[in-house]
Amino acid sequence: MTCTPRCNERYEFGEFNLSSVGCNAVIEEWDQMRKGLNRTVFVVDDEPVIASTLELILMSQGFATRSFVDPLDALEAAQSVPPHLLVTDVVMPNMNGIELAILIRERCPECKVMLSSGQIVTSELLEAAGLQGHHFEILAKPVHPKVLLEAIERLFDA
Amino acid sequence: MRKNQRTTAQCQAVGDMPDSFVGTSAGLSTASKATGGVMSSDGPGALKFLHTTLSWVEQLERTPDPALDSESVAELKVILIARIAKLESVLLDKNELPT
Repeated sequence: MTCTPRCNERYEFGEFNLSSVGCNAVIEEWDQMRKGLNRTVFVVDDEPVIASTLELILMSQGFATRSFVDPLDALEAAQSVPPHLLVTDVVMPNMNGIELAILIRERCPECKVMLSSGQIVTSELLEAAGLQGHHFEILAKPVHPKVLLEAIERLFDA
Repeated sequence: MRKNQRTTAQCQAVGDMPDSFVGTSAGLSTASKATGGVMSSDGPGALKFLHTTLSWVEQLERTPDPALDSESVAELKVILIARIAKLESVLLDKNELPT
């Protein structure tokens, strides 16, 4: 599958520079879009209320968000709508979040990944992934929304 | 919702997103109805997360973010309170409610 994020090239104007013609309002609006609405986020957590609440938090920030309780469903959905960001729990049935992140990254190399976990076993999984060249940022559960949003902003600004 | 958001039609033009993807108030309500049910698989960790999120929302109420409209913050708070009540009931039945 070819992964082509469709919304994150909106600053490309060629030689045209908006600020030079005084379009600050337009720039502000596009900055707003850059923060959320033009980006698709997949949230995956096997605890439904966590998945759906994270979805609400991210939607409130303007992200186009889908939540999943089964990582396999997220993987399938990524075939048709490649996410710009994956926010996923690590320890889950069917597939752990690190495996999911690696598979989605194979299909969508530009996809950012934010893991969250409250379980010690995660460090071993992360270490194993790191040895294979896969490095991910991880947040401790329960994730504070402010911490999550700041981490996401850092990911997109990087 | 963030102010100055694109309309659904504009969003769809950008990313061909179904309506339910879009971060509008309607979208938020849809998402909460479609996926907001507390399930028996939700545990004490989920309850802690809901309380953490509620604290964050209450903080937003006290010191509003100019980019967020107060209606959406209020709506989010109502959803969170309902979910906390439901999950507490589920955990109580399972004798898993944290003391």
